[in-house]
Amino acid sequence: MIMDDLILRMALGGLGVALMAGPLGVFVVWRRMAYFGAALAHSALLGVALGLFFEVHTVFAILAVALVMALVLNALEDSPTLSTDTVLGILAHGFLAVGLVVMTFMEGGHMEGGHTDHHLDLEATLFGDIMAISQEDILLIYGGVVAVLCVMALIWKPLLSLTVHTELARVEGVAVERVRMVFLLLLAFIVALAIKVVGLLLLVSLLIIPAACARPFAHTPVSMAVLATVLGGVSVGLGLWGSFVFDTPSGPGIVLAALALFGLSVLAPRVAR
Amino acid sequence: MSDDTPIRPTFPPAFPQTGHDHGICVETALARAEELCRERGARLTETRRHVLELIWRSHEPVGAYALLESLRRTKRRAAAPTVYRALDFLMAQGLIHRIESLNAYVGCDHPGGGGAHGPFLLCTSCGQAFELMDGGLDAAVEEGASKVGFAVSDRTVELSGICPRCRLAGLSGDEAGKEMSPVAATSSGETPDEVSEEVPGEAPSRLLVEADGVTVDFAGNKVLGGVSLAVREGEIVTLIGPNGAGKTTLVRVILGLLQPSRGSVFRAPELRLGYMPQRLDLDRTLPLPVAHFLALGGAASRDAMARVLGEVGASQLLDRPMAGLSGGELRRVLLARALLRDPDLLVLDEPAQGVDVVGQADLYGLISRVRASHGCGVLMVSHDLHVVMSATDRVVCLNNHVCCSGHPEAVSRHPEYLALFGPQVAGDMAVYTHHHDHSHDMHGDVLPSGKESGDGDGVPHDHG
Repeated sequence: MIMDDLILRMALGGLGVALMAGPLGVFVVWRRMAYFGAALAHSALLGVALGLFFEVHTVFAILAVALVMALVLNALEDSPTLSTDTVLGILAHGFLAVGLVVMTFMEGGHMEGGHTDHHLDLEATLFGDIMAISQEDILLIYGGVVAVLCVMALIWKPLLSLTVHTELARVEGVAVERVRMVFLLLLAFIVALAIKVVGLLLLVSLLIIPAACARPFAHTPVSMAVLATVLGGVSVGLGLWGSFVFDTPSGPGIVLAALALFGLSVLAPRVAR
Repeated sequence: MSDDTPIRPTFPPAFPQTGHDHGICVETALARAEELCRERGARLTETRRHVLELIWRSHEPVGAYALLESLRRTKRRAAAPTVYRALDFLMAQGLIHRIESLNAYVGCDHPGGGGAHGPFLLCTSCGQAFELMDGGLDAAVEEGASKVGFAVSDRTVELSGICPRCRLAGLSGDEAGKEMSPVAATSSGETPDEVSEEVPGEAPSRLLVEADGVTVDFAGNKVLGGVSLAVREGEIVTLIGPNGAGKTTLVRVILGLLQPSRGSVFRAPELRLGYMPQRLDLDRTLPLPVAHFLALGGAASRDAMARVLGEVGASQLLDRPMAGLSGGELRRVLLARALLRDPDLLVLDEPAQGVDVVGQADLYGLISRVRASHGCGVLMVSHDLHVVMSATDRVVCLNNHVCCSGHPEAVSRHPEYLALFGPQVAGDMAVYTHHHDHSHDMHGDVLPSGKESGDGDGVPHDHG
């Protein structure tokens, strides 16, 4: 019974993340923001450490740090002397280093049985620990799913428009800065919620691999997002199943399943031809 | 080439007393046309009615000059742009079948010889255009303008100012000066038919955008210095200039995408902009059918999309993916997206980029037709000097500042223009305008044939 409950929680959590990752992931791919997503994910480590320090729920701490990161990136994007690529590299690894150092300090002063039952676990943060997913986490994830899907439905058209041509969108009256900021906020959201499932190192793969799998079979933006969401869900299912059968870590298992789907998506059209 | 043989109007135009292939008397047809226009919320003004009558009563194609001459003789003064606008209107209402070529109207068929249309003086108050028949372009503009009582207020857009009538009206009442609204001009009492044409909604020359002394610095590098430019409803203005002249920068300023370091931009209230960007770099990973791309511009039904695509000659593309379009197809789809917004002003940045010469001519022809059918103003940037000359009302030659501007033919003979592009290029262009059996000096006076040929053989021009 406990086992069933655990499996149910893992499956629900994983599927929730896949539901968010689908529509966000296609835009990460279209807008060529894979590296941006990775940088955002790297900042999550600092969030975990700070969350422990201030005794705030990890999700909110990560969200706060990721938001700061997104704002700094947004501000530096128009730098006349630095390319976006360089800025991302500096911030991603800078935040990661700060996070690691802060975490070491925390480890020294960490007390068992503090106010929070979240213990500091570097490995879980890096690679995910879906086994440790709590009822509360599930609720948070599905709150996130509702929020992400609603907001995405609202900004879908303007966001797609500015993805296709930013200046044309601006001339046609799209509030480019605002829409872009809302999208960054949603990305920070999914980073905070998905860390538990796949860990920060593999998080971006959950955004981009299902989207890439969906591309050869999609003919419209919406169908690509729907297909990416479905494929993300399938990856989660296959990955969890695999990690049970072969007794392997679940986060990498999910990514491996996505990778296998990607291989099929590349091969299938060629075989069919 | 059809452009080389402009329609030669007869002087005076023949006026048969019976209508020709309408099967009914012209008077009845005109009454019907008036009714039709009223039903559509448009107005067949006296001038438009007169133009229509001349066309209908004539058995041959009528050139604009004949129309102009007839208007002058029988009714009132009307400058060429007024006639073009009337023609555009009639075309849009489906009352006349085709406009052979804009060149036919620009034509060299001046009865007195010469043929150089002097600069048009646009009144910024009532919007009426005045023509300085034998005015040159430089110092002569101001001199010539003062002769007809026209106060030239803007030297960079050297053709705008306040006409004597509005000046008088302004002195007696509102001193607002430069930007009196058409309504204010109409209310000023002494308003002949030309001005009463300026009914809201169908105003033939509403000011759409105006850049005033726009200066843009990029990291201390002056890209634009004190550039002024205005685009009115129903007018095609083309920006030309060498690479790095600031053409795209000026367009970005006018669109509001870039704040000028100095100077200001006026946009008509609630101006609807249709913008056709120079490039569209779509990520390979984005599957986007043409219909979805068009829908991004605003809420549009599939029928509306199909109609506009048909108008730009791309009806078969509705369900094709954007990624598979050729250069010319992409330009047409971009134009369709701009048109779907039912714009007051179309801004086209290098509309024929990446399209072969035949396709370019097609595209510019299309833009002329769109202007005629939608009645919008057009501001475009172009490198294609030779093709664009025939499809534009006014050319502004830009090289970080406005070198010269005005009627395409006048600009093509302007010393600064020739200095910028060289007589070779300028000569090539003449081939595409129309046949010259004579040439003009700077002031539009006729030079004997042979001294300077406009046939594009690259003979160095001497403009004194």
